[in-house]
Amino acid sequence: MPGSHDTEPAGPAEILLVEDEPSDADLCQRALARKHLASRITWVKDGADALDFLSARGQWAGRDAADLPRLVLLDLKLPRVNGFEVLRQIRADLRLTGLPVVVLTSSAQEGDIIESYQLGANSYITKPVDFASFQHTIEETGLYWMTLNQVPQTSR
Amino acid sequence: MAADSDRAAVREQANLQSVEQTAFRFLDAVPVGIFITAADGQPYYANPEAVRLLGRGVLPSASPPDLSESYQVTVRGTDIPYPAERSSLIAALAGHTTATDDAAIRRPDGTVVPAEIWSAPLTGPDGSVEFAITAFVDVSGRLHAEEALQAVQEQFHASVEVLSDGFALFSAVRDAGGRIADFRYEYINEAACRMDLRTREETVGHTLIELFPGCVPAGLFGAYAEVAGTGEPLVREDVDYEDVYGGRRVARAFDIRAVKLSDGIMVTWRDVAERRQAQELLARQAAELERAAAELEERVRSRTADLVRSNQELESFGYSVAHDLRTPLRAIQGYSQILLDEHAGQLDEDGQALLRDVGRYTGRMSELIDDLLALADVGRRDVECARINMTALTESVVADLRPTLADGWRPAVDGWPAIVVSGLAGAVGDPALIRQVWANLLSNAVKFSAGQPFAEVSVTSETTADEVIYHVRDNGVGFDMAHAGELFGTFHRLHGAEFAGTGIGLAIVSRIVGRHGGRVWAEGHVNGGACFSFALPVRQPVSEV
Repeated sequence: MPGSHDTEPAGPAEILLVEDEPSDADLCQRALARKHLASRITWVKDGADALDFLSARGQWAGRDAADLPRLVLLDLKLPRVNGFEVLRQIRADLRLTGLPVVVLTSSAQEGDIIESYQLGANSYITKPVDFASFQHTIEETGLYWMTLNQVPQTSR
Repeated sequence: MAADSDRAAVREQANLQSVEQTAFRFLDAVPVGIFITAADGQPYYANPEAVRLLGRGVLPSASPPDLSESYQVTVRGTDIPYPAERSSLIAALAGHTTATDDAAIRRPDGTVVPAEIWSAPLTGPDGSVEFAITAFVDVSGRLHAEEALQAVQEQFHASVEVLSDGFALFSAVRDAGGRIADFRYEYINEAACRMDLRTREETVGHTLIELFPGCVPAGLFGAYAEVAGTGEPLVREDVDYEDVYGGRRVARAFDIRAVKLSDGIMVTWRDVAERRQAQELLARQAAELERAAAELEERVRSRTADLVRSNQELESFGYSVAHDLRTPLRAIQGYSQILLDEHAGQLDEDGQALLRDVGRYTGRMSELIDDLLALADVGRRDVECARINMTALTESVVADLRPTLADGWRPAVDGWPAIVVSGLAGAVGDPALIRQVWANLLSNAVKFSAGQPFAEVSVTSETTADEVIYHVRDNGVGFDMAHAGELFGTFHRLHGAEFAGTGIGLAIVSRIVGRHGGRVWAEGHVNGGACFSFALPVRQPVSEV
C-alpha cells in the first residue's frame, strides 16, 4: 500500500517512514499526501529494515546506497531493532551523520526525549492522540523538513 | 591460881566476846545478807544487809521448819512457801552445805527480792553442828541482765531465722602457728540448712572444710580467712560454686556477704539460681519478642513491598493500556474523519450523522485516555517540593483558563464568572503538580458557575499551626452533600452531559494533594454553590524556586 494512492511519478525516496503500526503509517502517508509529499515516501516496519534500506542491504540490495532520503521519521518502539539503536547506528555511520532524523512516537516520557537527543535526533515529536491534531502535526513536520530545512549538498 | 584461871577465863571470855564482836563487825560490813542461826534453828545474828533484804529484823519466834513462812521465802515466781526439804538453811542445820537459786523473798512492803541463797553448817570441836550460816544476795540485777540478754538472743534468732538468705556464724579454727586452718559452725539458720541440705545438728560444731571441701579450690575459704584476718568485709555476686549437696554433686550460684565477728566471721548467702533462671527466661522472652517483632516488621516490609509492586504494576498496566488505546483510537477517529472529508458524497444524511457521532465519541474517549494518563502520571512521578507563590501561580492558571473557556465551556447564556483571587499564603509543594490542582479546581468552578447570573469564583487561603488551607468557592449549580464523599473518586460525575468532563479531574486533585501529605474536601448545596478546599502541611522546601 505505501505510495499506492499517489498519482505522481515515482522518484527517489525522499522520506523514510519507520513505523510498525499500519494505521499510523497509513494516516501519516495520507496526511503527507495532502501536502503532495506522499510520492516520495518509503515505509518500513522495523528498525532492521530501516538500516537495510539506508545501507542498501537485504531486500534493498538493489538500491543505490548513495541515494539517501531527505528525512527519516522514526518511531521508537519497533520490532527487531528499536528506534534508539537505529539512531545510534545512523550517527555512527559517517555517510549518514547529516541525515535529518525526526523521532515520531507516542511516548512523551522525559527519559525517551533525553536519550533521543543524546543519540543525535534532530527533532522529537509526540504523536497527538486526536486525529485532527495528528494530521496537522504530520503536515507541518513534513513541510518544514522537506521545504524549509536546508541540508549540506555533500550529505546527499 | 584459881583466881588466875578465873581471870584467864574471864579474859578468855572477854577475848572471845571481843572476837565475836569483831567478827560481827566484819559481817556487818559485808554487802551480802548474812544470817546465822543456832543449832536449834533460833536466829542468832543477821547483818544489816540481811535485814534490808528480808525487810524485817530477826524474828525470835521463827524456827524451822517454819522459817520460810516466817521470812516469807517463796519459790521464785510463785506464792508457794519455799519447801523446807529444799531449804539450804535446813540442810545446813543437818550438816550440809548447799545453795539454791530459785527462791524469792517477799518483804512486808510487798516488794519481792529474788535471792540466791547459800548455807553452811558451823561445827563445834566435837563435829556437831553449832550454828548454820546463810549468805544470800539480791539477784534481781543479774536476772534483769539475763532477761535482757535472752531478749537480745531471741531478737537475733527471730531476725536470722526469718531471713530467706542463708546465715551462719563461724569461729576461726587456728593451727599451731596461729594461722586460720578452718572455720567452725557456731550457728546456722533454717534457710541455710535448707540450702545446704543438712540439719542444724549435722552442721553446728562441724567445720566448713569438713562439710564443704569445695570451698578451698573455689577460693571461698581463702576469701573468708582474709575477712577474719583483715576485717575487710566480703561482697561477691554470682559466685559459681560446685560441691556435694545431699550426696549429689551440684553446681550452684550464690551472692555472698561475709564480715568479721570477734575471732570468726558472719556469712550470709543467697541462692541466685532462681534469679538467674528468671533473668534467662526474661532474656529468652525478650529475644523471642524481638524476633517476633523483627518477623512482623519483615512481614510488613514484604507486604508493603508487594503492595507497592502490585500498585506499580497496576499503574503501569493502566498506563500502557491507556497508552496503547491511543493508536487504534486515532485510527478510528482518522478514518471516520477521512470518510467524512473525502467520501461524504457516497453517504446519506444518516450515515454522515453516524460518522460524526463516531468522531464525537472517539474524541471523548481520547479525552478520557488523556485524563487517565495524567492521573497515572501523578502516581508515577516524584514530588519535588519547593516554596510556591500561590497568588502568582493561581493568576497564571486563571490566565491560561480564559481562552479554553472562550472556546469550549462558555455557555451562550451569560458571561464569565468573575474570578477573585485574594492574596494567598504561600506553601511548599511540587509547583507543576499544584498547578494542576488549581487548574482542575478553577476550571470546575468556572464550568459549574458560568451561566449563573453574577457568577463569581473566589479563591482564599487561611493558615493554621500546621496547615495552609485553600478554598475555591463558586456560586454555581453546587451539589448534594449526600454525594460529597464520591466527588473525589475516579469517573464520578454528579452532573450529566450538560457539563463536559470525564470525572477524573477531582481524582487527580485528591491524588496530588494526597501525595503532598495534605487533604481535600468539599461543601455545597444544590443550586447553592460549592466550595472545594485543600490543605497542605506546613513544611520546609527541599529547594527554593
